[in-house]
Amino acid sequence: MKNINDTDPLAARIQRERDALDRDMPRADLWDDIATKLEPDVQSRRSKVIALFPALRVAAVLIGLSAVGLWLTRMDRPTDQAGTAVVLEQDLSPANDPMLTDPRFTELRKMESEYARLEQSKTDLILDNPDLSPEDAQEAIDLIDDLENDYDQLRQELEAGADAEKVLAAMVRNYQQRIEVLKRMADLFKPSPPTQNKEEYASSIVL
Amino acid sequence: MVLQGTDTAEIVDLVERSLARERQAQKQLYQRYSRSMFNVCLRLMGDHAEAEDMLQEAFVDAFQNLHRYHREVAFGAWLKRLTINRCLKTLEKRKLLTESLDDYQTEQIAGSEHQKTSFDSEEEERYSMEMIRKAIAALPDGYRVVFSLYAVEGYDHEEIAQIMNISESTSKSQYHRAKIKVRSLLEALAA
Repeated sequence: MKNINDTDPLAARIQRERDALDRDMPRADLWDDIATKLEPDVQSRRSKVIALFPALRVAAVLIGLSAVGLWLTRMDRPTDQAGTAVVLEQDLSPANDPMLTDPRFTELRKMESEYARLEQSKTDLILDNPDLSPEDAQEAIDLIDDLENDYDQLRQELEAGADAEKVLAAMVRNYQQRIEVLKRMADLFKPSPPTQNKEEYASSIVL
Repeated sequence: MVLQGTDTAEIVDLVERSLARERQAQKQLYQRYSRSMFNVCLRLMGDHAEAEDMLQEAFVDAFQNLHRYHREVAFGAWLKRLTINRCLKTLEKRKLLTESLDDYQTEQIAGSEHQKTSFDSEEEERYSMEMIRKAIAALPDGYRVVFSLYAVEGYDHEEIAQIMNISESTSKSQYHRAKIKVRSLLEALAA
């Protein structure tokens, strides 16, 4: 910025009396147009997330309970002196991993590969959304982590020889739920979800 | 909270809350600065509806890029620069600015180099601020932009050259010619 001096008295006067030039006003409702182009208000976004997440938490708990149930079904299997299932003492190298070598799990491996690809693409879609705050992103990641932990527990059940049909069904359901959760979240954070359906949208999540 | 530039604690707080996407804080910042920014837009664009469009785009830009504001300058100065850039970008897209400046290069203002361009203090007091406002509004696009940036917004020629992507000497010569035009417009208004 320059220093106005006596060499330019017109410019000096204009800057001295600048307020007299700023007499026009934009139309009163211009702010409303601006607000519609901005990211959702942090308060409304937070409430959307709060509305969404209890349903997801319930899903995580249900999956966890099913995993516990399956764990109980194999309680009669041999255990070591500390009561730990013997499967934990197995050689876990890939060559001895039945999930990688057992032909009965070929379809499972294909399914895992396909679901993992879908999950990654949905996760990228959500986390790349500029409307998603770091806090919401972390919350989403935490939730998906919970579901993944449940899946890993189911996988261990399967490796340990639990009822394969039941465990596989639970694993498929776990993946389906994860994809559904991610899909719902991606939809929820779209720039302009239908305003009148926000509540209905969040409450419509049935897992 | 450390105060930066000339911003008050209230402005610093509003900026921080706006950064966290609190709509109410964003609205308060808009209410605080919309009038002055709108008049910046109006002087540069020369049209009320276009000025509203620019104001809208400038505030959307500002809030979406608030994380880029690092408080080297007062928030108002940052916002004004962003608003001016938005207006100039639009004028440039329409070739209005370039064409206007090209015109200046070839325009023959009879005896312009010898015309009186400066006002002495007594003389400029003859003209009301309302007359000055009308004279600025009546300037052709390119004149109006350079004159507004220098005389109204207080940028120096080095800054104007940077903002408009022209040479400093071009900025000086355009301001010189703009002042001749302003003077003639003011004389006509006073007659």
